[in-house]
Amino acid sequence: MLPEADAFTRSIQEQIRVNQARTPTERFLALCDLLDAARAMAPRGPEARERRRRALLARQQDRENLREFCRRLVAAGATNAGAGV
Amino acid sequence: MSSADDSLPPGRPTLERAFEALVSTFNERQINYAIIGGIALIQHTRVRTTDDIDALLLVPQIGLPGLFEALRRRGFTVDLQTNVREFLDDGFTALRFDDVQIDLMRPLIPTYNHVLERAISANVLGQQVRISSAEGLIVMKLIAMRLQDQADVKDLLRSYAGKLDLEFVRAEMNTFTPVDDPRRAKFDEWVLETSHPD
Repeated sequence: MLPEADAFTRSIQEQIRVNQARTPTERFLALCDLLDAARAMAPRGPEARERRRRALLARQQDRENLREFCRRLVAAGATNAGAGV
Repeated sequence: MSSADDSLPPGRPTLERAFEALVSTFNERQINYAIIGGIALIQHTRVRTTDDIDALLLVPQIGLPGLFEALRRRGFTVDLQTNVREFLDDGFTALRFDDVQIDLMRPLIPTYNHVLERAISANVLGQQVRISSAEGLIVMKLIAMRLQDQADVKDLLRSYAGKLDLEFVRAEMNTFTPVDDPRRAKFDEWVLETSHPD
């Protein structure tokens, strides 16, 4: 177990090292490249599409949870009174 | 068989255009904002998949219609009344730019204001962009504490091992967690775990 965990941690540290050597724009473009690669490699069949749809729905639910959390903060009157809203 | 599959992540041109349009609108209108979430995270740690844009912003109520109108002119899908109402009443509203989702949140607790205050500037795609500091991201992720947030906090701690203002993080945590909140112990455990490089 430990060697695998160690390898995982080392891989993350290497990814961090690589990213730290990039400029902010290069980091953003690296994300774009990653998304392009994900699009290109994504299976196109109906099952794969359905899996992605379920993932999107889960994220939408996540967003609704965040909205609900924010609503509760507003309702609790926790809003910081300041110049803005 | 070339019908668009909207379950796929957005491509590079769309994400780039969405990001540029959002940031230039904020900058032109001198909005006090910080990019948060995954797009901010990749500036501090490593590149991982994320395809929506999250921002924390402080806007005077009177400026909201103008802001959303400007975003609409830039190509964002805006429902002026709904977005203004949600931003005011819920503290949160969502927009779209093509297939990119944009989540806008206002600082609802003092901690979020402190995250805004500590935002850093970086030049991304030729524009100055306000991005949450690593400490600000940690605080926001400790509030949410979903599985991805937990992994992200560990990445942030690894990226800046020994260089973070952990006192800021702990002081903020004191404002939103009771003494026995498990997030405190978890955070201390992660700090210890990530403080030994290699």
